[in-house]
Amino acid sequence: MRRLLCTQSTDKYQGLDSSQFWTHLLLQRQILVSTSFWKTRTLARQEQKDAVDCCKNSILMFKVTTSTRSAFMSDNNVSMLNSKQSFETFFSRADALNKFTLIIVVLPVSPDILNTISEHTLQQNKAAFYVHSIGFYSHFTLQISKAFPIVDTHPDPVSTQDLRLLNPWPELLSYAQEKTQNLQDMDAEQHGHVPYVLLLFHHLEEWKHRNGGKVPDNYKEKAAFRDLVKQGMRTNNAEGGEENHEEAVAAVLKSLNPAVPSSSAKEVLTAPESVELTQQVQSYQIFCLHSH
Amino acid sequence: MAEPIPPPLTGPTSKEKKYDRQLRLWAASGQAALEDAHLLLVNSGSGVVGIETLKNLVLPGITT
Repeated sequence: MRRLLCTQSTDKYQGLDSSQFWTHLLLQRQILVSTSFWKTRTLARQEQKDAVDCCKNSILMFKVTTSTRSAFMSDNNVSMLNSKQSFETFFSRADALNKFTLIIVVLPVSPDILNTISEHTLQQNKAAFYVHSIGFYSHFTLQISKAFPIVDTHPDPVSTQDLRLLNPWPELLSYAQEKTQNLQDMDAEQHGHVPYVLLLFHHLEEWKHRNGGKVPDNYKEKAAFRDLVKQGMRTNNAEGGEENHEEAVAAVLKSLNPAVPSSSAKEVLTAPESVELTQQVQSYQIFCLHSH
Repeated sequence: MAEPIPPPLTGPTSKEKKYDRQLRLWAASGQAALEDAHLLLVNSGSGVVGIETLKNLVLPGITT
């Protein structure tokens, strides 16, 4: 018992619609009932008929309910393929799998076919899904190409945050200086509303002035710098402190680090797949190449 | 084939309305990838697993 169902675009298989369902054996009625998209009413109407008709009917329903265009064929009308093709001969053709971009295999299938599919997908950088289900038990294997880019679209914000404290662009620095130049003379409201990044810049300049242009680079110095920032906070108010200064104090240890890409990110840039471009170039490789 | 997605000012197309939930998940690019996929399903056994899989690909919009 084995059957092949395939959908594919067919300029090769003239006379078919743009996709085809090809089955070796007739679909059994029970199978149709057990899948939710075949309505029982349709089946009842078709009860006296061949299961093939039933299947055709359901694929017609496909046409109506979705935008899928499909055609159905079984061994009985294999002549539509212009030659006697069977399950095995389909796979024995070298170019049989070229058209497909995604291959789903429901196991068990014969090792020959499995090998053909596996080798083809590895070679062509395609994905293949293997599904094996035995009643309540099933397992699922995904075979992907050797280099498969996965973009982490929501990384931990802390890992990517860079306040540019150690390498500010000129406009940022001059803006910080402008906003903090008369910090001592500000009234309580103004003083409590200077953005904390600007406060850090202000105190960093002060630190550099005192320490010969160097920035705090070890824990001891950072702790001392933190105390310096803390001293700038006014405590003679109703809250007994200022939130912006508290934020600045909290940011010292984690933000006063030079921003370097993680070792794993560097590894991606220097991986052989990123350096050597092939015919099946993936967009991330172009990014990698240009970042060198 | 994937229809070009018009700019947002023109309002959602019927297709965008139909696939609204999943478009939020994988965006127009993901939808296009799904619609442009050429699928080969090699079924075996009783065939139920493959057909169910196929159904779950057809409903989100796999075409040819």
